[in-house]
Amino acid sequence: MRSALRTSMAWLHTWTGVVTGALLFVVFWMGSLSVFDQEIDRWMMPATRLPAAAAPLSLDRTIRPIAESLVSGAPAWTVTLPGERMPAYQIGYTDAAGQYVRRHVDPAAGSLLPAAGTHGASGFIFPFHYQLHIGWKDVGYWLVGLAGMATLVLLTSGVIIHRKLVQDFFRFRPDKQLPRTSLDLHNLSGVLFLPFHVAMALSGLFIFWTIYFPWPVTLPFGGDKAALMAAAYGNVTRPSSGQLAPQASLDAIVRDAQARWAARHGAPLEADVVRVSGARDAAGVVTVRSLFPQDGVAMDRGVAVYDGGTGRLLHDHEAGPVRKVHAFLSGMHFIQFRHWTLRCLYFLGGLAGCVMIATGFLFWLETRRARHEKLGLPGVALVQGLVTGVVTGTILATCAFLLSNRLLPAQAAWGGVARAELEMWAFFLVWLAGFVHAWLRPRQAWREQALGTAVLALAAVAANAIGTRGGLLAPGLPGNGAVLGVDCMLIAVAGVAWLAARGIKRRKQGRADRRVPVAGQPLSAQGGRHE
Amino acid sequence: MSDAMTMIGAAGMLTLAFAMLALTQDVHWTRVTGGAPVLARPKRRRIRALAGIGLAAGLALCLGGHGAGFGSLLWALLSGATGVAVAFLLAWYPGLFSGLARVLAGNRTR
Repeated sequence: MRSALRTSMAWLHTWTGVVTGALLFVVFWMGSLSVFDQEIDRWMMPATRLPAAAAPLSLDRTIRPIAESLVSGAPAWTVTLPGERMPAYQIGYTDAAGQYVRRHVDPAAGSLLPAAGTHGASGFIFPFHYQLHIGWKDVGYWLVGLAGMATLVLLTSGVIIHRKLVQDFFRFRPDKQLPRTSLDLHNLSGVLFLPFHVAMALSGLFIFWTIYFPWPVTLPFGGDKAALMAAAYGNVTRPSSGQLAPQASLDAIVRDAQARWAARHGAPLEADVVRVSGARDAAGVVTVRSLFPQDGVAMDRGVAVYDGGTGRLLHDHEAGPVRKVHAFLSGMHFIQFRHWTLRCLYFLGGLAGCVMIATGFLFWLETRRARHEKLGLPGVALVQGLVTGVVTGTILATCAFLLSNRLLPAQAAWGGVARAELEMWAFFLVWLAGFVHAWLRPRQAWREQALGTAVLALAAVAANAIGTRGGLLAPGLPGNGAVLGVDCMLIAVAGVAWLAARGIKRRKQGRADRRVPVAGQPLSAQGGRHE
Repeated sequence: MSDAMTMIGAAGMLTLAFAMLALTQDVHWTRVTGGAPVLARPKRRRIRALAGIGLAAGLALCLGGHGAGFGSLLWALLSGATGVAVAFLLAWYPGLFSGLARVLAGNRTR
């Protein structure tokens, strides 16, 4: 019985991994980088590398006039207030072409900063993590949801098929053959970070409950999604009245919201997002949120909605128990709170997930390579190209994305494609080239792409230092800490990639040496493996 | 005690607990000690119980220093990181654990 269960779970584990592993790796890699999205944003948007301001700007006197000059008729705009990781004010709105635009305001001077010309990590890497930049019919969300479910299936089946879970708990044998070493690493990263990976997959699915579970979550509201959003998130929408009205003070509204939250929670709770809908309309609404409180895991702890014209409180939202659990799981996944050790550990946990997926693939390839080659089956060649393109190709493309950000001129545009999109094209073209290269040069692809990653990562660090006179050239510069962190990460990536390339070369050399036949003995008798 | 101190304390406690658990396994014990007689079963049980207390103490430090939300996350992630660190150190630098092995061995070995 137990053996039958193990056999069926082994089949499930193997084929779920092979079919969804590539998607999983991309989601894990982008998720890991998203942990430091604000820091990568500072690296990619040099104008926002600013020291924290001594005093906050007035929303009424400074931010609102700038926002209204930008939005030109947009129905709503949002200002994200500065925080520890984001020194500038960020104004966001949807332009006439339907694109979401983000602009930044210097927190000390109160002036509009030049357009960043990049989506940064928060506009490219982070959305890649949860919707793969496939917006059509929410296909990207569904694919990532599938990846989340697949992660849970793989982790559960992996625990069931692990014959020596306790005995192998700390076992890692780097000096053994590649399949053995890969499996050890696969087991180590899978078992020791199991709670983290389960928590991330589960919370990722819960965050998008309205997409993945639309029927159960709207059932109590008679299928009315707007009613769900009002009850869960405190959303208040009012149709435009068509009548002009004076605007209430945003500063006073924010002060009032914070005072209410402080009274309710017994501790200060800072507002971090203010959304103005229907500005100058008599039915306009101002929503103030404490979306990402710094001192706790749960997000969205404060939501207050005011009449945009009179400043009268319309709704002081208090979440119900289910939404509180959802807010905790969401906050745990988004990790926007102030805890640097946890942030670093999340990054490590995400990378452990990448290692788990890559080594799972390696084990699959190495245990089938000889048989597939002997029988002339295309499976290993096909999967190897896919894996190389996904693992080293994605990392290579990420480095190309960062390097293109530093090399493209500020006003770059080509064939009607704006600078920010050119950076995305750099990513996708290098990624595509990674796949093509992997299928054309299967024996050299791992090593060559690892070397390419090392070169591009170091080039990005150098381009940043030279182009912005920041990074490593000015370690003490105010607002440069995040940039230095990203530079160090790139140098670490280059170092690991170079070590990997060297390791691959040595392993190949070792295999070639072992293949030199001893006189009178066939190659197979000496344990030689055909690569 | 500051947050950083509790975190360092928790990381140290978890590393020690995982190292003790690893040394109760014959394969790691033999590798670390270079072939000394493996631990007797009762002693092994006592060491595992002590390691369990160490893991619980690590959790208590995380919860006490960082609250229930941050603390539980911190413990789960620190457990993963320190577990992997112990596995890597056992693979590449087993000699680092020889002092601990001597302490655990005491006078009574099987």
